[in-house]
Amino acid sequence: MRVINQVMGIVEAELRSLLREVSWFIGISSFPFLFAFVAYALGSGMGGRPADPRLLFYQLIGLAMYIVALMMTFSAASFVREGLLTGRLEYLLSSPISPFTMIFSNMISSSLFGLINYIIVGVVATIIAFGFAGILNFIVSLLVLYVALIPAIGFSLIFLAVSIIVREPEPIANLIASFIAVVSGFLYPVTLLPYVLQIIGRALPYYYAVEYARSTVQGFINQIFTMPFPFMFFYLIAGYLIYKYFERAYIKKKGTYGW
Amino acid sequence: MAGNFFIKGIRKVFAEFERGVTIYVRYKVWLISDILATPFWVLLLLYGILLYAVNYVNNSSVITSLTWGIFLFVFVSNFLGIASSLVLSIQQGILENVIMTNSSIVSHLVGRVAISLIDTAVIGSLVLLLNTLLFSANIFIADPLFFVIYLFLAILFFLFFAGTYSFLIINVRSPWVANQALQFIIPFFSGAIPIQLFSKGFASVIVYSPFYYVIGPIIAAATGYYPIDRVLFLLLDILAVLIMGIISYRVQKIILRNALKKGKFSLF
Amino acid sequence: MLQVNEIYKEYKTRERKGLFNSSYRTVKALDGVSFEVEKGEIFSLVGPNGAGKTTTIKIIATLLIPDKGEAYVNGYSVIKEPKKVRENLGIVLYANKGFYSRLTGIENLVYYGRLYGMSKQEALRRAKELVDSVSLGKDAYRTVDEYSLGMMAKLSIAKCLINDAPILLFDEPTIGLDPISARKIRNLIKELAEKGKTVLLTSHNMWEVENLSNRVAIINKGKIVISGSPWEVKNKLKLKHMIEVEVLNDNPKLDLDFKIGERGFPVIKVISEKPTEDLLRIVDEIRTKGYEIGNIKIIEPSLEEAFAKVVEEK
Repeated sequence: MRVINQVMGIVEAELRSLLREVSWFIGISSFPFLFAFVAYALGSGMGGRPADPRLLFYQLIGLAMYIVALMMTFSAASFVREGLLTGRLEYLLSSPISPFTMIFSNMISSSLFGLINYIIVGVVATIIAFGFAGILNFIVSLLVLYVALIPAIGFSLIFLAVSIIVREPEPIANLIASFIAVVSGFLYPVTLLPYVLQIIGRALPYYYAVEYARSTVQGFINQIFTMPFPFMFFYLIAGYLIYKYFERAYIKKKGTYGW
Repeated sequence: MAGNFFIKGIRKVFAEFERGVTIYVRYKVWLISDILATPFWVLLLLYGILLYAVNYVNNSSVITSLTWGIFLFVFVSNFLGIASSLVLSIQQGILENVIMTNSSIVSHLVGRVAISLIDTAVIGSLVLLLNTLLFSANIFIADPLFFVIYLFLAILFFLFFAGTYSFLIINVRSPWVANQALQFIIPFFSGAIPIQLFSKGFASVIVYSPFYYVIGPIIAAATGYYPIDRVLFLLLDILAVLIMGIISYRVQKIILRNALKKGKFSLF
Repeated sequence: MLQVNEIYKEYKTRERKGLFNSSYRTVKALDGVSFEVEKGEIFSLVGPNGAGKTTTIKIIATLLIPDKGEAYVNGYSVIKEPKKVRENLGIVLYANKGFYSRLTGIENLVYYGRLYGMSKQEALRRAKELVDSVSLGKDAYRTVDEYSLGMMAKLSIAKCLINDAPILLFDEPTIGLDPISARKIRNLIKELAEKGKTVLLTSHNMWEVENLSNRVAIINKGKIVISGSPWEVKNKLKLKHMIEVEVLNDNPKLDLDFKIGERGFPVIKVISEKPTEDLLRIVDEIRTKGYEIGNIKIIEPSLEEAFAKVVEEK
């Protein structure tokens, strides 16, 4: 019961502060629209006629997923980082809460926040490309996306360990975010990329999350069973082990989180 | 008296510029990260646009045009960052101390201009280089003299624009949201993607954008394709800079008083 | 000199209700505040949080325009001649903010010096002098992101002095400083006043205010409730002294109440409005009965008591 209260406490406080930053929320939600519509307008302008709306859907939904993926990957690290800078983390750690409960709670609130964004963007994208008939598939895609992104928690834990040790983790996050964006097929099929990048993309869980969810909205739910998704759970295990290693070797030795 | 005023003014601008450069080089890890991430962002933008025209992937002239478009996207994004630096200055409690020195807010923004200039030079050059190596873009500048003049005018224009815009977003807690919108909208409506790539109807809309007369000439001088005479382009460019300068001066005067009345420069 | 005439200021605060709802409330920050500070004088403005001290300082500094009223700095109007006013002011606004974190302390000082129109060499020379004055020492060459609150406070004071202005505004200058550093800063402020600088100070440290100020004003809910020298303020409020007399006898037979003190002897404690008369009376009674007197203490009322009386009564 106490753990549930702790989780609820953190989730509520986090969601409250996330949703109260209205401009921040608008900024996150509007990014997919801005990029995708500008690209669509450019595409239409270059082609001399309105481009295929399915391409607009492709990019809109891909970008919304990119946001969810980033939130899943970096939220724990940014939670700890912000906590370190504001002193909130020490208050949290001085209360009877396990670090894992704390991180887990933060992931829930970030996922919910990402989910709201994904729904806003995804519903518009689905209606543009498939009309209201596509909504049911879209709802199924929510589940598919989140299940497919579970392995990303492994990356989240790895990055959390990095951010505790490194004094400036933001530039590293910037680099990783750009790399994930390029190789995972959020904006275009990975087959357009040079072969090496294609292989790397297919080795990461983000590619499968995007492809699964997008296929689901398009009505090709059965395709997802043909993909090597289960292997991606390797990252979850690896992430957990790496985090635990750092926790033992560094955090516990130093006596605290942070530098 | 006037000489003394002038010398003090120059000293302030130099102080701000030097401050900007010093801070920029102190963020070494960010600089390295940006340099390493640039190829990925370039690929993302290029492929993101080329999804609509996959057949253009091997078209050198289209890639060259898009390359200059991305270069100017970097330029605009960097210069929009100037505006949010004012909000940051307030949040850090610096702006009030700067006001106490009788410095103008535009001269304070020069510090961020220094950062934008270096960043545009570093990242922009990298964009040009990468697209040459990866996609065979031809980044040879067709009209170097006019390119430099137009670029200088664009820097002035965006300094005034950022000055004005920064005042308008003074109360916004997350100015990056507005910046994000503008960094897509401005290049799109300014001919950053050369208008010859577009259908006539679409191109005719863009010429109504005031930004077109600041960004358009740079693209024209770079690619050598001038939609109008280059001297006329220059005159229109100068006119745009002057108008922006006047707007900036007027807006700052009005909003500065309003901000001082409502304590908008204060942290609490 | 500094002159503040009947200034008023209101502002709106936002109150959150639930997840998304919020409402605005108007707060009277200043309600007709007036005072004067003479050349070479240290004048302190004290009051509880939100009383209007910082708002007053910001209006004098031209960083906030009053709704009504006027203030003059060396004869210049803060509303009509803000540039002239700023030339005459040095200011500490926030003890923990106001600097670029990736610049060193000295680089920040040189930056501000140059913004005041100094050449780089001139600003550097002045910055080095000030770094010594505020005892920042070698810490001045570290980047500000590594500074403690105390170091930041010292740097803020150095920044305040960089333009050698005749009037200095210190908003809680010694916050976060260790006792020795705080004492050095207090001595520095005293020296500055002796050299003819006009000082307006706010602080929550009543002991500091009492020992440093020529005059003090207690402000509460936007109004100055009382002002004068620390002695005058206490006198006006008719604050009482505490008299303590120790009797060197285990069980004295006296008409006065006593309790056993720290040294094990009886101590007579009396709260008095007329301490000299009362003390003589007590001493007379003890001597008349043939007892010996140990320690005698007269504890003056502190400014803190004056402050508490004013604020709590309100």
